[in-house]
Parts: sequence; C-alpha cells; structure tokens
Amino acid sequence: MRRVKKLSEILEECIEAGIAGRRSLEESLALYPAQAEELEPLLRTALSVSDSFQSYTPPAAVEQRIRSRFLADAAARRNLRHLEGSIEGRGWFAGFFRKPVFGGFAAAAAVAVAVVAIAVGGVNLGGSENGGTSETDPLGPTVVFDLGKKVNSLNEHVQGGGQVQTADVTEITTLVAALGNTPIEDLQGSSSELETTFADTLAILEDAANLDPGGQDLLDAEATIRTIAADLDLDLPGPVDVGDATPTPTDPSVEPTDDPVEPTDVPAEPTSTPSGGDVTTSPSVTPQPTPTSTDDNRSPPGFLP
Amino acid sequence: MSPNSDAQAERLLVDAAKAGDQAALSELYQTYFPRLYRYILARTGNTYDAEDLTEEVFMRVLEAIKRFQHREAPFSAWLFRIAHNAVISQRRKETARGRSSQLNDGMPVDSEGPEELVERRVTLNEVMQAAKSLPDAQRQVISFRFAAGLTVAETARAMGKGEGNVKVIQHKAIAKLREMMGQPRKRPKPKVYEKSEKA
Repeated sequence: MRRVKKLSEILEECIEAGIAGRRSLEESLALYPAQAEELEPLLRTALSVSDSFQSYTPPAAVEQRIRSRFLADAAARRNLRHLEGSIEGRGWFAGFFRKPVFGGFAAAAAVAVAVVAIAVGGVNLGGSENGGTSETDPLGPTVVFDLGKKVNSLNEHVQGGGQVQTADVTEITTLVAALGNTPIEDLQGSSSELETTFADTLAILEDAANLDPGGQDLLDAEATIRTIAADLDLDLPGPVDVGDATPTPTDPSVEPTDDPVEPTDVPAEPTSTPSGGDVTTSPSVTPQPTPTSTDDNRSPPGFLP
Repeated sequence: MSPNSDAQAERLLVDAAKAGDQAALSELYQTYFPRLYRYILARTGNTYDAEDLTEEVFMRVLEAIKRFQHREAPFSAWLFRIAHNAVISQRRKETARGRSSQLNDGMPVDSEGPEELVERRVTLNEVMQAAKSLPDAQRQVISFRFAAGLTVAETARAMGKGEGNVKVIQHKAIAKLREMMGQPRKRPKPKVYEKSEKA
C-alpha cells in the first residue's frame, strides 16, 4: 500500500511537469530510474489522455451562443439591480411595493414608473454605463406580478367550474422557471406576495397533474417553488401530488447519493428552455423528493456560508 | 507570471465579475468555457448534454457568484463543483433518455494535418469510451484533471477529498485506462496551451 502511494505521487509529479511542458516523458523517467519501468506506461497513458482532451476545441458556434446568453443574462440582472435600487431609494414607495395585497399591482406600477423615469432620464440604469443604452429590460418584479395575475385568473376560472388547460400550465411553468433563474436577493422584496402566489400555484399544479401525471415540467416547477420558498422562508402547503409517474428503479449509472455535499433537489430549468405545450405525454420520470432546504445549486454545498 | 500572481489576478477578476462587470464576466467565460465544456463532455459522453449543461452551469454561476467567497475555495473548484452538481442532477432526471452522440466536427484549431486530427479524435473517443467503465470516483478524477485541467489540489477541493486520496485514485484510473486502451500509439506533439486554458 505504501509503495502504491509513493508511485502515485511520483506519477502525479511527472504528469504535472509533462502537462506544463517543463519535462518530457523521457526526462521524467530519467529522474526516477528505479520506477521507470512501472512509471513509463502510466505516464504515457496519462499524457496521451490529457493531450486528447486538451486538443479538443468545443464548437465555435456553441461557444458564441452560450456567451451571448450569458452576457445578456448578466446585463439583465445588473439592470434589475439598478432598477430595484432606484425603487428602494423611494421610502414610502418601497413600503407600498412590499404590501401583500397590493404588491403585485404595485410591482407593475413600480416598473411602469421606472420605465417612464428612464425614458425622461431620471434614473440611471446599468445600460447607461455603456453609452446610455439599456441592453435588456428588467423582468424580475414583472414575472412575480405576471404569475400572480395568471394564478388569480385561473383560480377564478376553476372555481367557476372551468378546467386548467395545457396552455395555462405551459405559461405557469415558464413563469416559475423564470423566477428560478432570478437571484434570490431580487425576490426578497416580494416575499409576502410570493407566499400567496406560490400556494395558489401549487394548487393549480395539482390540478394540472390530471392533464400530465408525473410531468417533468410540473415536477420542476414544484421543485423551483419550494426551493425559492425555502430560501425566502415562506410558509407553503405540503407536497403536491403530481401524479403517478412510474418510479424508476435505482439506476446503476447514477452516482451514489451518500456524498454529503451532493445536491438533493431538482434545480430549475433555464428560462431558455421553457416547457413545450404538449402535456399529453407522460415521460417516465422518477418523482424527485421535494426539496425543503436551501441546499441547491444557488449555493453549492460546502463552499458557501 | 507566477502561480501567486495568477491567483491574485483571478481573484480581482472574480471580484469584478461579482460586482457585475461585463468585461470581467466575459473574461471568466473565455477562460472557463472550454474547460467546462470538456469536463461535462467527459462526464456525460455526448455533445448534446455537454452543450446544454455548459449553458446551464454558466447561468447558475450568474445566480450564485455574488455569494462566492474566496476563503471557502478557489473559484475553479467552486465552478466545477457547480458543474458536478449539474451533471448529477441531469443524470437523475434523464436516466431513461439514453442519448449519445459522437464528437462534433468542430475540432481543434491547432494547425495540424487531417491525419493527426483524425487520430486525436479517435483517441478522445477511445478515452471517453474507456472512461465510461471506470468507477465513478476514478472517472471524476480523470474528468477534473485532464478534461477540466484542474490541479490535484483543485480536484481535491472540488471532490471534497484529500490530495493524497486524489493521487491514488488518479493512479488507479490511469492504470485501468491503460489496461482498457492498450499502449498509446504515439504521443502527439506537445500542444502549446493558451493562457486562458491553463489550469
């Protein structure tokens, strides 16, 4: 065992030197003549594996596409922070913005006022740093408002004897996914409103499960809602029954779950891949345990406070 | 530039990115995109997932970077931990999908002849095929060390293991890969790594 460990260290030292271009394979072997015979094939394999990976260049089109989205998303977040900073600065207005009953309408009004303010040059958005043009529109508060509005109208529809339609589910899961991609700090001002809206949304998801039992979009939406709720310490009803998706037996290819730093929840889907309108299919998925902690990929476990 | 000054430069870059600086974010992307893509490709074995998950990881980075703290881990270890989690989540969600694909044609930019390109592509396919048979910890180490270009120290942080443990796992993985792949036919000429792709 001791011998194995020693060779492991020699091997690593030679790999590091080889990758960095400090030593050739032959020079490394000359440095360790006693281990050269055993070391040579391992080192040759390791350097070959390294070269194979490092010589592979990802497709340029993919690189460009993801870069565009990454930077656009970053700009949108920055603009949103500026906008919310402007709103927070107006004391009575900020209080109004947070009121649970009027919060949704206030949020919309806030955005509208801010947009007007921007138009007349009264508010300095992040985009102005780059020559006075806003790269994207701030969306976070309006998503909260849109979700609340959609859920309220659906509730009225259902209470009046109507049914949840496929398009409704698609719209809701898309809005929830958008919320999942919003920094949690940016949702804190809407906590009260979100608590009510999320409770109603969960009820609608349960209705929607009749259309798409075990649907992945529904599972993802519920997971996103519960993750955000945990982050904001919101009080929500218990797990939603999203139908009878066939549980998949433990897949041997899935990594073991005993790693204490493994995520245990289902992260939100990116907004670029909203759910399609087809809820007639029932993908065979394993219902995920409902996340109840904040231990998601917003805060990789073990690294963040 | 010394490793210390490299680390300091990256620290400043990350701090600027945390503050929302577009140029800093762009530079971080430039630095980590190829490494992240290769890592996910090595873990998933197909370019579709590599593309989707690379995008997803960068979006998650935007969400979480404000809370990143240098004292907890190097940025690279933090970033690849997010990538690791994304791969795990993907597997849990899509175990039934069973997609796979060969490598794309958008291959290396190095000025090499077609024969050498083909040989490397075959080798990479062989490597990835062989790596699928490795125990998970070994596959993780190979992906972190050779696809992502992390150091042993960074790999240890990303995996939550000791450095000595990582070296032993690496040794076993390489021995097993050699057994499965046979002796490499030849080692391609040394590649001059771009600064942005260094570990």
